[in-house]
Amino acid sequence: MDEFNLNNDETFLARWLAGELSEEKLKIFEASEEFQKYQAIAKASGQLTVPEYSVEQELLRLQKTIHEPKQATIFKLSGVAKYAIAASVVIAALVSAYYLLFLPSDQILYQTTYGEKQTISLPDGSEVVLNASSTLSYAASDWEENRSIKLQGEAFFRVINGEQFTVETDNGSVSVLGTEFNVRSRQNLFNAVCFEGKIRVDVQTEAKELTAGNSVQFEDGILVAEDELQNQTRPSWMTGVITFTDVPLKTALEELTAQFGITVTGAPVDDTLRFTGSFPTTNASSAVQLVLNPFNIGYRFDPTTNVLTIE
Amino acid sequence: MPDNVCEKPVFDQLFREVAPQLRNFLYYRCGNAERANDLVQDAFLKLWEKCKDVLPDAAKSFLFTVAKNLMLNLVKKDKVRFDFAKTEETEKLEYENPEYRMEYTEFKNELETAINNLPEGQKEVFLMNRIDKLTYREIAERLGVSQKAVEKRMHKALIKLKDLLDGH
Repeated sequence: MDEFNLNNDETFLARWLAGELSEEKLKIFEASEEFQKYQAIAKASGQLTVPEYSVEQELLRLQKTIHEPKQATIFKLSGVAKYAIAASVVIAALVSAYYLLFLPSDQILYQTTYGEKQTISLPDGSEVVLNASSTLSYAASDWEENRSIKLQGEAFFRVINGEQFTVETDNGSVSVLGTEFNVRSRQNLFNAVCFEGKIRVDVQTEAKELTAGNSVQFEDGILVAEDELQNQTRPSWMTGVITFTDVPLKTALEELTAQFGITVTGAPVDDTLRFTGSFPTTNASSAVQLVLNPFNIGYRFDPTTNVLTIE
Repeated sequence: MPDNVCEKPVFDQLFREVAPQLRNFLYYRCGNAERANDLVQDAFLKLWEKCKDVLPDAAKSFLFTVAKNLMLNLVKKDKVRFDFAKTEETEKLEYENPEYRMEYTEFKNELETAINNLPEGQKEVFLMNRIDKLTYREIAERLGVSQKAVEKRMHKALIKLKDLLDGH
């Protein structure tokens, strides 16, 4: 090709690369001797990549920096989705809750990160204790008519008698008239325990009625266990102990993340391994030991970086 | 509903859209992925602090401007040489014709060296287009220059790359 285009037309190659050349000009260029080289540069450079960037993780990091209150803060959403601090409560431990999800107006949202618990009073006087790494939200405006709560994670409920009270989760719902119960919905595991009164548990394919002292557990919507409590009046996590009965080991590891913010890396965990046991929420190292030592699994836990590597 | 950067959904959406491009832009300039990640955090924190004053349409160029300034304070004017990640494409090639593989790998290495020898303005325009797949208009908006200027830099970058690869 004559040097005409390249020297006099200062954007020629840019437009070629963007596919903006006229057919005529393109034909002349394609016939030129340097075309092959530019073509090769374009092709190879289009395959270049740079080290990966995990945008969601970075967004979470940013949100942690932005919303790092040293006490519990409740963000309320009102008007044109603009939020304002509605109340702030000091709890013995450092508790932070921040508004993370996009919610329709009038939603009240509570969120705990790892290592945190939060006690919440609902408008009717009912009480919720939210376990670590959990999110709870409800609409304040029609609370009296519609006592409905959305939950991700785990919480204990003490419900005052009144209209039907429903806890909705991704795995199913639990509804009651007035009672005390615990709901756990993390990943595909859904667990409900009734401590007082009577509750109804709904998953996609079936419904179960539970009376005081009973619990049910679903995995992927399938009933895997029905148990009776032994003189228990509160879920053990409220007193600083996490207890599991016959859950996937993966679930116990996820709870380590929920409670201590531990990052689990390394080899994937065998899906068939089941865990039964307890660990304290006060000490990450001993919790890791109590979860993993029963298994024939090599691991390294670094308390300073909070990284657990499965070998 | 007038969008406001102070609104969480708007802010998050901005982050998801702009952060990866901004991070790569910073990476092209400073050659250190970790530092680039941190600078993105700093730039978005600045945006959050000023969210009342910045309109969503202006947020992108605001972020790039802030990031550029933050980096000027950090990076001394030494020559930046950064590494490209190994692509699946190149890995796949290893099972194919070894001769072609060698030729292609060699060409890619030479190209990467050549890119690192481009003047800064041309290098970032070239990479924002080739890696982040941004259009010239989008690059112009982010860098605060005219689209024509971007196209000129791109044109010059391609000529320079070919010259470098030809051994000039």
